[in-house]
Amino acid sequence: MMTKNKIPEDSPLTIAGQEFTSRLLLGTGKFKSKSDVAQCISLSGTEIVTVALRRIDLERHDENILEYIPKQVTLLTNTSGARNAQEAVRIARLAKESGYGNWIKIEVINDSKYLLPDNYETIKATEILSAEGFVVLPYISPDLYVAKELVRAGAATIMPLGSLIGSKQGLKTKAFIQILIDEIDLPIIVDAGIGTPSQAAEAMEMGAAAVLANTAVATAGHPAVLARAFSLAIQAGRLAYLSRLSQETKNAAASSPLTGFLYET
Amino acid sequence: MIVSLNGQKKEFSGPLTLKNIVEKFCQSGPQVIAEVNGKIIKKESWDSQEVKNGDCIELLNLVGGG
Repeated sequence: MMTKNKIPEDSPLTIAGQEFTSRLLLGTGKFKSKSDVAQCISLSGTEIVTVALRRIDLERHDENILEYIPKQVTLLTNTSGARNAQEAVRIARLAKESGYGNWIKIEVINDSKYLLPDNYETIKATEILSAEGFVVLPYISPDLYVAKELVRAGAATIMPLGSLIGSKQGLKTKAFIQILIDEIDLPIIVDAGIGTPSQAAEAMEMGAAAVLANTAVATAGHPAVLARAFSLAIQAGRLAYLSRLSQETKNAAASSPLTGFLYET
Repeated sequence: MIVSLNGQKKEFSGPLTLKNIVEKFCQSGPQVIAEVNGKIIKKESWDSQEVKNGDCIELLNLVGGG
């Protein structure tokens, strides 16, 4: 129980029994340079980053992203490219072969216009991979019934989208994310469409467990500086949530006393 | 022999092992994940995995992603 007006020591973000201090997850896609990734990790203090699995380019010798990610950071491989549960399961099993752990972000998308996840294929993939011992973090359009199925299927968290991937439109799905936060007993990690630190703070004020950002940071003029801003905003939002903010009202309520005016009204 | 390597048709004169192919095409050896004909081949078996005509080989690695 919190002592009134005392800044609380927050409980850590706990996923599959592992504890984390940072509530910022960072995507590593779209960066102009891989050294930016390293600096973002360093300046933001993020402890979980996402990566993807792809064919090696046989003609070019690209730098290895893993050389820019410190060993103590948890790698969360996504199943991007998967169009159905079967493909997501194949990607996950291949990713596990890398030796960098068994955390998997299920991302099943077969529409290139909106990049919306297929919630039902995501449930199927979660069931299979969770049974195989993977730590499964499924990415979905926020839907209470889908989330309940994912809990039953063994998901470690739920990752509802705030808005379309890369759009930076913020929390378009706010009301539906709030339902998940209120009804689902798993960490809710808002992922996709978070364009600004203020949007990330807003998600945390609602009670989200964490926020994942990628495009906004990767495409900023100074990615590492923005990554730090995200980290601070997420801390502020979390503290605001813990302070038990009062709700907004429709009408005004004066902030100064309504008696003792200098001028009679 | 002709094999499919990452979706491309490649011609080799054998005998070859999967390890030979990885070393020939991949700089980041330790990070490579290999699949032959839909089956994941563990690193320790690359040396003994003979490449045959018609094999479908996928060499993969982890890259930046969201």
